[in-house]
Amino acid sequence: MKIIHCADLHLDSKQEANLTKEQAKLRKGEILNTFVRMADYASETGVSAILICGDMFDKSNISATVRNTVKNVFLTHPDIHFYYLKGNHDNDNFLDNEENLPSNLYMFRSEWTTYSEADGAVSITGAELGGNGSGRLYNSLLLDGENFNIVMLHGQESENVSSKKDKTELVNIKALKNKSIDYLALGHIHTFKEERLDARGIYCYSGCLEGRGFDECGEKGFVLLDIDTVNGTLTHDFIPFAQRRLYTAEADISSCDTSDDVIDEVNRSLRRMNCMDTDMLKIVLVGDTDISRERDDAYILAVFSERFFFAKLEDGTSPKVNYEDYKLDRSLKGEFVRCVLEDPEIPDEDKPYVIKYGIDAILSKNGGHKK
Amino acid sequence: MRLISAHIENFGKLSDVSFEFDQGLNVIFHENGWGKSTLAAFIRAMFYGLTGAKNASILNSDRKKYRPWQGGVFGGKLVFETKGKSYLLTRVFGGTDSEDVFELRDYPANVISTDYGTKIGEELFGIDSASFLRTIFIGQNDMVTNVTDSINSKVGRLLDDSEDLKGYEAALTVLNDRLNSLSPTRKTGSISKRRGEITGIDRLVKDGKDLYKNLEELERMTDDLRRRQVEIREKLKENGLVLKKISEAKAVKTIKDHREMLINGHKAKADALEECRSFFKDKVPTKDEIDGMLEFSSELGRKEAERDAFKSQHQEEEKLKQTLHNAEKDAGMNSMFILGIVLTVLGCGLCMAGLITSSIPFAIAGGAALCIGIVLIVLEKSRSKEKTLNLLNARNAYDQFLEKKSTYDKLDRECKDISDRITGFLNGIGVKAETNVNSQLLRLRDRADDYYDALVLEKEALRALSDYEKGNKGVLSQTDYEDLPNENDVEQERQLLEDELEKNRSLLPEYEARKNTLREQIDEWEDNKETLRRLKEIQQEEKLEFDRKAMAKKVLERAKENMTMRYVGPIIAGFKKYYSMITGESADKFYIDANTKVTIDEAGLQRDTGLFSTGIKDLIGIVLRISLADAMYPDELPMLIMDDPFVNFDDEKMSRVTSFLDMVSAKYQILYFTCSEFRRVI
Repeated sequence: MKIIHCADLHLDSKQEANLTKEQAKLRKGEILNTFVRMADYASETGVSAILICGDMFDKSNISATVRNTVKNVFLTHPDIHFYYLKGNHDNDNFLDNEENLPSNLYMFRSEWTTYSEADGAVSITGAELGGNGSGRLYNSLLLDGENFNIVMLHGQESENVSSKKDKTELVNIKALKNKSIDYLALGHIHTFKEERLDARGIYCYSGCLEGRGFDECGEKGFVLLDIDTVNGTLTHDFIPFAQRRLYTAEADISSCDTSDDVIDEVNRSLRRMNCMDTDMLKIVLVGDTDISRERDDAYILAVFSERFFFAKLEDGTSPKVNYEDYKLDRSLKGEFVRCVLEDPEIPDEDKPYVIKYGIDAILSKNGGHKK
Repeated sequence: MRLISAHIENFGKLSDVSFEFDQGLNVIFHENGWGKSTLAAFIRAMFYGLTGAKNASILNSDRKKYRPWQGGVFGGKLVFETKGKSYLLTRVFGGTDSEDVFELRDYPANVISTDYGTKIGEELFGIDSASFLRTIFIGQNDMVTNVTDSINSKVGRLLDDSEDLKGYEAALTVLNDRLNSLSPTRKTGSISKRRGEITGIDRLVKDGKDLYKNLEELERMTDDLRRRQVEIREKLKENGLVLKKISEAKAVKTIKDHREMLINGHKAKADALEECRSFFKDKVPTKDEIDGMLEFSSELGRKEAERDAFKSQHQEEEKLKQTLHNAEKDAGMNSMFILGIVLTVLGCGLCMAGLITSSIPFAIAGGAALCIGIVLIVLEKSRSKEKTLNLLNARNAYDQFLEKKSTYDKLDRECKDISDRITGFLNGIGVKAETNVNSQLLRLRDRADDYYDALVLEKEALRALSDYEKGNKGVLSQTDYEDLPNENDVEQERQLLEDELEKNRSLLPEYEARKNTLREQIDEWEDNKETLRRLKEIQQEEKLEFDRKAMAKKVLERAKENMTMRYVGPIIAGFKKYYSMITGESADKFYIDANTKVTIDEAGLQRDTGLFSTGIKDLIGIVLRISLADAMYPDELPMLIMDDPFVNFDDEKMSRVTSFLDMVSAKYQILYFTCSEFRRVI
């Protein structure tokens, strides 16, 4: 029996802040379409069930397009059983209010609910964590060891104290050991992660289907489970499925003298990353840069913006001042640097920046540089 | 460098005029209006070109101001020497800069030279036109010397080093522009504007901090409401059961009451029946019987009437009988004897009939006839013919009478029979016969009718009761419910529950709508929070940038001051020297800053020299300009053009101007213009 484990779709949610309006709109559509593509993939590859471990949405006001598309996915794939467990971002949504839910959509509550697949050989159990009852919840989980047991939860793996600051619940991994769980399907962490649960089973975060911001870099997709219902064994693979990936490329430009040098250094970083032109890129320049060197961030960004779907540049460099160079400099620059260095009222951490701004201004560079 | 000669084709009022210049002091003495200032302007224009935009006023445009009224070639020639080489500089001025003609030739070789370009003034003197005016050209009433960057740069001798001191103003502009655009105090500053935005969004975020709590509260209220709905439905169910019990109890009671009613009804009917029946003591005659008796009674009446018609003849019987008797007595026995036989037989027959029918009258009648018959037999024997005739007559009469009597008797018997029957009937029913039997019978019939009606009613009541009991056997066998609450109370409770259910039913969608609104607000609030976070981040970054750039600006200003101060020293030294030379006084009370602004210590404070007299100002200006020239041109000295600068000097100062000029002209080529003989001969 084949099963897809996915989570954290965050359909219809906000995108990376620096995207243009058009790009943001396009990304929203792509993310929704990835969900549709996943269902089509499931149909084409004989997948019987799709587990959605939370955060399918993350706002209450879901657009009509998303609502209708999601419903349509359920309806046009009647042979697939969709198991939907709500997460901390899933408020009461339209699926709670629908009078006629699709018959192939199975939902969960705050108490354990178990469904059966493969003529009883596979059980799928889930509960929506919340409130103070989570401790009692773990104790009440009873599974038949003869079955292949899948348990669905949404939360951060941790100890058994739930956070009061936000609605994120914590998944007490320790409390779930030795409960005849073969596969603990988790959601909440947006990157694929797999660990051993106990002697019998494993737990896994499938990660999100598509990254939305640069805190969700790298390959995204779902986990494909292939269960041998006769022997009760599992093979599983992470399937990268995102239409676009996000990458953060860090380039140390300490030794770069010009903008073109910086571009070359960034390209070297990119070559290590398998980044494609359809991807979204954040470039972080790091290192100590001599304030006298030429560097035009706007030009550098323009080069990569043209190449990738989206690019942004962050200056993480620290201005470097070779004070010895300015010791005997009779020019205004030299006088200025000496004045900065000798000024007790300027904190040491500010001095490199004050010098950079002053030199840039003297050389009539754009005085609007940010840090 | 020094000027050698000048030829003006046409420039202002000067036309076709030439000059030769010597080393040192060159005094050009002409009356007012001759064109001394025009000559000075010509020299400047030859080195720097003409100033003034196309649409500038004549006062602000040298081109307009000095265009020759008389027409002709607007321009001239200048021969000068610099760095050991002489040049012939020719300029012809057109309507605009682009129409101007510039030509430089080696002199006297007259070969075109490319040693300098159209900006020859800047190249030779290292300063721009404005700076030239403020240093080399010393005009009257124009002693204000605000240093320009090029002056400072020249003073600092930093021409060779990327002109960064010259770029100080531009650097300051760049910093100021950025600081202004960031400014936390200017309305247009992004930090200031963002502060307002942050305050606004912060307020929104603060106002919305209870949204989650409100949503939780609303969710709790919704859950409570839903739970309450379940409770109400349960209570309604229970209430329904109670009502059902009450209803059943009522139904049972109704049934039982109805049965009771039927029982009572039946009892009443039975009592009525008994009352009717009790009238009859024994048997209750049927209607037919009574009707039969009534018929008998009617017949009796008829027969009695008929009989009574014979009744009056009954008294005659005795007479006839007597006669017959007598006749028979007389006739003998035969008729009497036959009669006697007949009566005897008749009597026997009646007796037999009476016995059979148990009719006493029959029996009595039979006995009587028998007796009479026997008697007659006996008597007959004793009569004869007359007797026989009499007897026949008597017998006939008597026979007739007897016949009548017989009829009467028959009728009477019949009446008696009927009467007996009626009486027997009445006795049979335990009623004593009354005189007016018919009336009695009619009353009896009414009574019987009553009885039978009552019987029917009683039977009906009994059947109804029986049927009812059969049909409601189960219910009737039930025990009564005990301790049931008051139905009105239960109904009232139900109504209250239903009202509450209905009210809650309409509240739930309202709560859901409010929750949806709250969720939208929460989404917006989260967006605001994120926006606030970003804005605060940007604000912090910009503030940091602002502070650092402000520091940079401050230090830059200080650096520039330090630099210029380094070179202001020589200016101060020169100033003091020349001031003392002209005034004979010390210049210690004068201060010169990095911008070569001169102040004077008067009454303990540094005072702006602009407050002083024109003469003092001119003195300061001249001294300062010479000092600047000393500082700016330590090597290749320029010429100095003085356009009657001592016009406002008093006599005492004028007395020292000669030695001053001697000293200065030992170093500089001076072109000294004056219109005063007095100032000429100093």
